[in-house]
Amino acid sequence: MTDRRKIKRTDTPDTIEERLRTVESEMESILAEVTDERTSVEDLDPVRRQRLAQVLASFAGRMQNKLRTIEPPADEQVMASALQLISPDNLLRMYGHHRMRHRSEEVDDFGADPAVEQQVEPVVDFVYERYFRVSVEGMSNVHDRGRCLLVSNRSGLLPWDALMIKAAVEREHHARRRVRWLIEDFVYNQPFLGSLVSQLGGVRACQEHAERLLAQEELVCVFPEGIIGATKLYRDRYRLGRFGRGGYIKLVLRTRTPIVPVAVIGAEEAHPVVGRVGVGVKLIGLDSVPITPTFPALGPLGLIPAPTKWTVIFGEPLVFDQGQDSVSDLVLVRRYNERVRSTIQAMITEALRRRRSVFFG
Amino acid sequence: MSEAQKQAEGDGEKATGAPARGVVRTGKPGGTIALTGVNTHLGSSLVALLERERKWRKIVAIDLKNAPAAGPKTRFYKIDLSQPAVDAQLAEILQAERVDTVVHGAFLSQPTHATAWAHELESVGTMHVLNACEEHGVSKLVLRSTTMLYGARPDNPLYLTEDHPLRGDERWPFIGDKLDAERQVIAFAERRPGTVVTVLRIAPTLGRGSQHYLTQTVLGQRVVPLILGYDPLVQLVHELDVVAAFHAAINEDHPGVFNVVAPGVLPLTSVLRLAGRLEAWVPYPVANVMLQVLSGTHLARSSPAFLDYLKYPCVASGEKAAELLGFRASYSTREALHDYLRAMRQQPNDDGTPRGRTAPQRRSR
Repeated sequence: MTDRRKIKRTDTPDTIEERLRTVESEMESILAEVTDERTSVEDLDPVRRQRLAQVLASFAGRMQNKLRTIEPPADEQVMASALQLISPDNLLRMYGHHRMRHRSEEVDDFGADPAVEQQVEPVVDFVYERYFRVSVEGMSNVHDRGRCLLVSNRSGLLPWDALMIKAAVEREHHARRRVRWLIEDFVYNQPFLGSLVSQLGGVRACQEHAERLLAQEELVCVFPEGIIGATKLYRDRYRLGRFGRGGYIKLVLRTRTPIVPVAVIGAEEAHPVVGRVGVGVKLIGLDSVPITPTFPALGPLGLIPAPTKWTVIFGEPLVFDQGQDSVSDLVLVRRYNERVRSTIQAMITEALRRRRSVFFG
Repeated sequence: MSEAQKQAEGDGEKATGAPARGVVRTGKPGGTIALTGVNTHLGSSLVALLERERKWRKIVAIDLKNAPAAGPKTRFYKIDLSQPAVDAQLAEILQAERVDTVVHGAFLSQPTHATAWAHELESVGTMHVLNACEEHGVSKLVLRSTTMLYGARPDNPLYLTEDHPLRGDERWPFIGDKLDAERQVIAFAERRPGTVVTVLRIAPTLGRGSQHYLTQTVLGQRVVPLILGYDPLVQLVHELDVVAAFHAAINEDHPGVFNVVAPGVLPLTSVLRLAGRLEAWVPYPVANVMLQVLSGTHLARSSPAFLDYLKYPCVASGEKAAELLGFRASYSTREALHDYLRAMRQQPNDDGTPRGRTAPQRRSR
C-alpha cells in the first residue's frame, strides 16, 4: 500500500463501479463453487482449502490493484500516518524508549547495567575524591587478570565502603578492573534496593552466583561480617565480628581462588552507631534500627555520612590450595577463616596506629 | 489462514537447520510419532516439520481439533484427555498405529477458573498418556514442561540448573497440576529405564503464534501492574527456538530434563519500556488482597501466587541443553522481545488493515 501511484484520471467513478461489480459476481461464483455443500472453511480438506486460499489470494491481489486506482489523495495518507504517530500505542512506545535512555538494553548475566553505572559516576567521583578523600594502599596486590576474591571488613550503615572499594579498583588499578559485590539476602531482598544494587554490579550472595562470577574470572568482593558489621556499635569499631560460617573459604577452596584481604579505615566513624532500638521495628521486618547522633533525629538527612578521611588497604594475596577434599574439612575451613580474619584485623590495627586524625588521616 | 500456515512452515524450515550438529540420529526410519495438543503453535509447527521428514512414516495427531498445518501423513484422532477411561482408547490408538514416539504437549497455557477440569486434563490426562505408553510400550516420550515450575523465590539463584528442586507454588492449580504431571513422567522414566524420556522445561515464550501466560499478562495490556520496589530479571525464549528444541529431542535420543531458554536476561521494567507499556506500581500487600478478591470472584484468572513471578527471579540455565541436546537459542531474550514487538506492529489483521495496536488480543477494527 505504500506504493503511491497517481490516480488514473481516466477512471470515472462509473467505470470503477462497473469493474467492481464484475469482480464481485466473479467472487460469488467462486465462493459458491468452493463452499458447495459444506458451510465452514474449517471443515474443508487441506487441498481444497489451499485452493480456496489461492483463489482468495489472487482475488485480493486484484482487488488491491483496483484499490490503488481509487486510493485517497496523498494529503489524506499523510494525515493517516500523522494520526498513527499520535496513536496511544505509538506515544507509549516513544515514552518507553525515552525512559530507556538512561539504561542499556543489554544487561549482563546478573543485571549490571553500564549505563546506570555511568550515570551515578559523578556522585561516586565526588564522594571518592572530595568527600572521603580516599587514599589507597597496596593496589598492586590485585592482579591484572584472573579470578580473585576481595574480603573486606564491613562498616558504616550504608554500603559506602562497597562503593569505595569498587571505585578504588576502577580508578587506581592500572587494568581498571570491575568489582562485583556479593550482597546479603537481607539487603538484596529489600524493596528498591535489590534492583538498584544489581544495576550497579551487586549480586545476591549465594554459592552458585559466586562460582559463576569466579568462573568468568571476575573480581568479586565479599563482606563476611554481613549486616552485623554494618550495625556494630561505635565502641566496638574496628573490631571484626564473626566471619560468617566460612562459606567464602569453601568457595575459594573449591574454585582455587586467591584471596586479597581488604581493610577499610574511616567508614566506622562516618556513621557512628551509638545504640540500637529493637522495640517495634519487627513490624517493618528489621531486627533493630541503629541510632547515630544524626539518625533518625534528622530524618533522611541524618543518613549523610560524616566527612571522614578514608583509607583502603589491599593486603597481600592469600592462597589456600589444598585441593577439593579440604572443602569438607570443617576444621581446616575454620582455621583458614580465622587466618583471613586475623590478617584483616592486623591490617586495620596497623593502619589505625599510623592514623593521626579521623578527619584528616 | 494461508499466510499463517506459510509462516509456520517457513519458520519450520528455518528451525530444521539448527540442531543435529554431528550427533548421530538414532531414531528408527519409518517411525510413527504421536503428538498430543497439536492445535497449539508448538504442536502444529512440529506437525509441519515432521510432515516434511522422510524419517517419519506417520503422524498421529491427538487433540480436540486438528493441527492447522496437518498434511497427508497426519492422522487426526479427536480425543479429550480430560475424559475418564481415555487411557484404554489411547492405548488402542498407539497399538493400532504402532507408535514408537509420543510427544505430550496437551497443557493449558493460561490459568482457568475450571480448576477441576484443568486437573483432569493436565494431571490426570498425563496419567492417561503414561498408562497408554506403559501398556503399548513406546520407545520415547517427550514432555512439555515449563521453567515456571522452579517457582520464583527470593533465595533462587539465577540460572537454575535442572537438578534444582521444583519449588513452584503447589497451591496454585496452574502450577500444581503441571508439577504433578512432571513428577509422574519422572517416575515413569524410573520405572521404565528402556524408554527414552525427555522433559523440556520451557522459559516464558514469545512469538506471534503462542501466548505464554507470563508474557501475555505482562505485554497484553497497556498499563501493567507491578509490585512496588521489585524489578526481577526475566528470561524469555522465542517460539521458534522452542520448536527447534522439541525437534532436536524428537529426532535424537537425549534422556533427561532440559531447560529450553534463551541467553540473556532483562529487568522486567526494561521489557515494559521497550514494549511501550506503562507500569502501575502496586504495593505487595495491596496487590495480594486485590488478586485474592479478584480471583475469588472469578474476575481475574491469576492467583496471588503469580505475584511471586513479579517479585523474584525464575531464571534457568540453558547450559545442559547446549551441551547434551545441542540446542542453543537463536534469539536472545532481547531479540525475542524485539521480534515479537515488530511482528505485532507489522502483522496485518485478517482483513488486511495494519494492526493498530501492539497488544496481541486486541484488534483494531
